[in-house]
Amino acid sequence: MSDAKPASSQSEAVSHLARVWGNLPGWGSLAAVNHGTIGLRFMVTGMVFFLVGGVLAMLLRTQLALPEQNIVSAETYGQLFTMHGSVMMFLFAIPVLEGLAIYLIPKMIGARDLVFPRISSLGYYCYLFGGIIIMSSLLLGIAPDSGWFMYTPLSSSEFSPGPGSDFWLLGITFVEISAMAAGIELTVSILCSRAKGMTLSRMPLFCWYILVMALMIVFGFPPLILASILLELERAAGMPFFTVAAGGDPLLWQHLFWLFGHPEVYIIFLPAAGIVSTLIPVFSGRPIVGYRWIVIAVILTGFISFGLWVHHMFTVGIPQLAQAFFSVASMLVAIPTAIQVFAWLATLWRGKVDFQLPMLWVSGFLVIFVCGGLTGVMLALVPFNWQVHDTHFVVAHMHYVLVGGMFFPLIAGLYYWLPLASGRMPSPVIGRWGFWLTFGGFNLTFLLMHLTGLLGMPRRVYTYEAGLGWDSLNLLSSIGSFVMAIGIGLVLLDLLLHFWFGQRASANPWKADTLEWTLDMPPAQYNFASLPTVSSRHPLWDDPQLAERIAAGQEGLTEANSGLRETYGTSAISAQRERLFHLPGNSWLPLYSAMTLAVVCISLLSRWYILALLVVVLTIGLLLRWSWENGGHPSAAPLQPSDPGQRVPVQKEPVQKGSVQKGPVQKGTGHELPLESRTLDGPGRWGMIVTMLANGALYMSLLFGWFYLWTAAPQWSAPDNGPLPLWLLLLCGVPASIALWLFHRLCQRLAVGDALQLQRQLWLSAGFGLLHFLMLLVLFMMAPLDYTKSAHDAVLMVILLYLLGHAGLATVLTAMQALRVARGYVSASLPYEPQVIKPLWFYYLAVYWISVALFFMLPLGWGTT
Amino acid sequence: MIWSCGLLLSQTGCTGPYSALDPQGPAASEVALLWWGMFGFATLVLLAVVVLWHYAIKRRAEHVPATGTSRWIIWGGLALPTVSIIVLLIVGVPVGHRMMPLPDESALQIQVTGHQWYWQVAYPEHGLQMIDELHIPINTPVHLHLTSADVIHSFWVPRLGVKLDMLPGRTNVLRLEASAAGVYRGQCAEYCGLGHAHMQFTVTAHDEPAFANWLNEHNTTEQERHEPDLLKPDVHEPAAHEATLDE
Amino acid sequence: MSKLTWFAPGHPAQIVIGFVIWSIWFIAMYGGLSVACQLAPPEVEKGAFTWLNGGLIAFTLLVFALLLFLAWRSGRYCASKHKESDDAVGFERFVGYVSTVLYLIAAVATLAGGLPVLVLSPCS
Repeated sequence: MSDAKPASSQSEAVSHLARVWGNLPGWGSLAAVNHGTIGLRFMVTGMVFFLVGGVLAMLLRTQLALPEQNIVSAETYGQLFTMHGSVMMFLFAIPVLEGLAIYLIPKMIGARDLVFPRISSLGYYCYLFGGIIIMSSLLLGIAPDSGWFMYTPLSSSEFSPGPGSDFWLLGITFVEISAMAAGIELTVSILCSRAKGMTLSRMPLFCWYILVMALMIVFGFPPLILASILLELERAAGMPFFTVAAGGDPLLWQHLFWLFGHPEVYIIFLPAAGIVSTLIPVFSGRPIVGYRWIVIAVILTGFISFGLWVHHMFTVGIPQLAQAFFSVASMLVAIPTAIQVFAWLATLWRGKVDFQLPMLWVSGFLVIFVCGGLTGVMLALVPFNWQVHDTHFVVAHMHYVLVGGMFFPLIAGLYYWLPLASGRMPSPVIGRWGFWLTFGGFNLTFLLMHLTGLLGMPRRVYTYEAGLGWDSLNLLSSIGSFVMAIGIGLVLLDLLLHFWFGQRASANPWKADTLEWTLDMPPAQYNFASLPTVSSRHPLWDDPQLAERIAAGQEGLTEANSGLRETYGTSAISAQRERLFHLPGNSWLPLYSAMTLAVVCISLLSRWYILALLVVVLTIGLLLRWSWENGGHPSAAPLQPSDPGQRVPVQKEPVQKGSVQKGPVQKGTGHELPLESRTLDGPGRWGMIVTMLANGALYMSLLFGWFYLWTAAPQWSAPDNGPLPLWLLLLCGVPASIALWLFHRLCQRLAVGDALQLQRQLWLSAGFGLLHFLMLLVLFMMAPLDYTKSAHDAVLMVILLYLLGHAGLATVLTAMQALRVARGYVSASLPYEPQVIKPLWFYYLAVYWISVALFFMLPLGWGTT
Repeated sequence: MIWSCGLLLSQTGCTGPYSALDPQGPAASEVALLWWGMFGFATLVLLAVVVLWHYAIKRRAEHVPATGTSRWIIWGGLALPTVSIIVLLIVGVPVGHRMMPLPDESALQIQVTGHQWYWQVAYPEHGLQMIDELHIPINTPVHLHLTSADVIHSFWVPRLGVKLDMLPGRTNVLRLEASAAGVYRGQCAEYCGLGHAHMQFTVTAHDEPAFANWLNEHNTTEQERHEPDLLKPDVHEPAAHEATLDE
Repeated sequence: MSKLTWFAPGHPAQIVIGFVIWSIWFIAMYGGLSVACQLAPPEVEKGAFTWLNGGLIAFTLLVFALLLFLAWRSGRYCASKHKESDDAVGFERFVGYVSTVLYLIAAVATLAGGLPVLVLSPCS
């Protein structure tokens, strides 16, 4: 590893890398999939939406500056506050942080790209198009106006007949695709493409935060996606999930929404706290105090934040004991936050602090966030919550937590990583002015707002009488908000101007410890000229020559052999190099798929259901085409005569440990490792497993809804016997189980290199899958489900549709495997893809049998009520 | 910032027709007291953290290699929040418990139904119906049976007590009590559409004899005046699902 | 590094198992309470002294004990790794330490969440 190459061969290798990894020129850059490009696009788009959300906030504050004003009508005001909340949450906070993570994670873990580059691109376009669709409703004056949490029945078709709610439900769900994509992709990337030697205990803290955030997205977003689908089904097809008279319950919406909504607050906070935990040690010039405790705190936050959603609902009349569970959990979440705050304090205490501009924003964060955290503990106390819930006190608390906990660290992070992205330093003077105006304006606006709330001003009133004691407070809040707006304007101006006028940054300007600072500034598309090995938590502090060695091509995987984009796949636990991941290059498929999805979204909005159905079919076709261009496909990584998989049956165990150092022939290039499609494991399989976790969260939310309606809906009614005959369900399950068994068996055979009659077995498995699908379809058509009159039947219908969709998907994918065997894209040498699909079959069968058991068991419970 | 807040407090005071900090009922008083206690404690914690932060940045430490778990984390990260939570729960839970509408023979029962955008008030024991106004005796617990005819509303009289949501299909029971005679203002706290900002009502608290007088006066006249438009079918139907807060 | 099964102390899965158990406990408590109150609500007059409260607290104590045992197990493992100082062991010690603390916190969180069962009547 240490023998140097001649300079010329290195520059040749680098220019080859640049060719392989470059985006297409001109309009072709729309086909870019590289994480650096996509990450920056996410952040810039997020900032544009932030400006829009900010303008909406200014309109709100202008209207409230003086009592009894009529600058905007009650109707417009409803649209303004709904859109302000929705834009800031869904189109700014989450996407910007995702963008930051997408941009930074591969650079921090020493990889060339994320493991699903085309998914990054799809996520971005879904976000962009969804955001544009939502924004268009504002321009058309038909924006949603029931508040950003869309409580039913106010948002249902009876009380919001216009298309506003549909824009929210469909648009936000569309945008959500990007969050799910990022969640799954970041999880898998962090788990299986870290640098050699970067075990979990050596991972930069930022990666821990992002890992937990990504997993929280995986489990947290499905309830909202489900809730949005259910409410849209109620609005469009009259399925009464939230209608009391038909056995539904509006509170179900609140449960599902906050089941997402509270974790979401932490999904926003964790990456921001990760920025703080990254910056503080760097500017203190020493490792963080209590690395292990920070990890503990982050994991703790991830779990506990799922146990406190009901604290948004203390005033709806929940049983006392249930309230007590959630009150305790809400307070427990103060512990991980306190652990982090004191770990930061201890780090500063023991270090020599270099108080640069990013630290100013970190300090601003601390003051504001601690204040917001303290009011949060107050709000977790039930009787106090009953008094100030839905007042401006809560508005103030929420902005302290979100602006303090997300925006301030974000700006700190932007200033910190700016030199990396642009190679230039920001201006210290404008930056400081921007900070102090933002900080002062923010506190003027929101500190006073606590008092406004205590004096009784409810949130979301478009105007108020004079003389209630709220006048001067509101005026000062409005003035403060404009000061803050000027401050933010200065900051954004500073960020923009520095691209032209900033001073050239020196290498590693902040003397940081993490791998991204070994890169060129701005970084090359392929990140690392050679992929590093890491032997401590602080590679740049402990190994000052690392940057040089990487640039000189003395670390791993220096060459882009056969023109493929590749990065190392390492084992999640021991961080040993196990295989090579082939990463797809520029592709138009993500853009096309997102465009067709946008057409689906628009046609659903316009209620052109036939068109929607046609375009859905087209979208599925595109996505299948996408999955076709994988593995052994000629446009991906076809088998070569020299392919090691041609000679050796693939083994599961990593055999190449340490061979990078030993092998005299292919020194450092890394190509002695097998591509993932030649093995049994790879990012696709992990991605499928994580996707099934998200899918399981969706299914669990659906079951929760069913249980909830049964136990809590005021007028729940269900037939004594379920409308689905049990024996038919059991009969239906037989072919599905056979299909799974066949599939499992052929996977096992393939694993030991036995591809005998592979194609026939796949066709057989797909055939049984098809039989099951058709039987289930007949059962579904025959089931006497009165889905517009009864919430119970509507729930059953959704469960059946869910099962049908999965059965169909598993069948189609299995049939496609058979076709791929025929083309030679799957074989004994290419045994990977069936392993990717196997978790889907297992998941489906588990869900099917659980559903059948519940179809049978639940009516037994109804009998007694 | 704290200074400007103090200035404002002294200027506007904590009074106001909707001020939770100017309580006139036992529930609101307890919450106001809770607030001042928590406010004092939170201010101390915030100041302590900020001062420590400032000093930690300013001071020039000798470089001591850190070993083991820091005391900072044990004391500040674990002990401080745990103790605070326990104290808060010991103080707070009984307060919440006292606000529950426990079975109480002497309580006056009133039904309030939220509509877009008015409050329909009924005294089932006295056959009275009203719009946007309640009358209650002082120093007597009142049990308000809250429900909604359309979307979700929330019933809130800040100077007397806490708020409770009004949900279609459910009846929640809120216990209120006024300790002084007077007119108290209430409003809808849950966003309920265009008229939300103007969905207000008054609660007039009378002392005992005055309340008896008021009942006598209105027992006959009010009912006739309001009956035609108020006896909607849902008013007198027994609520389908007696709520969880109910006894 | 030797192959560990997910259940062995020192496997990274141990880091999350404590709170996975806590989550299952949480769902079972909340769900069990709702279903029990629907099917066979105990009388309100009995306050907190009902079969339902008894069942919930017994379940809480059981989970609490299980978590304490797991904490003890990984704590012992972590202490045994303290004596060695090989590099790979650094990782195992990290996992042992983090999972011990998380098991302990999960145990405390379980107990804290279960205590209201002692004072509040279940279904009102």
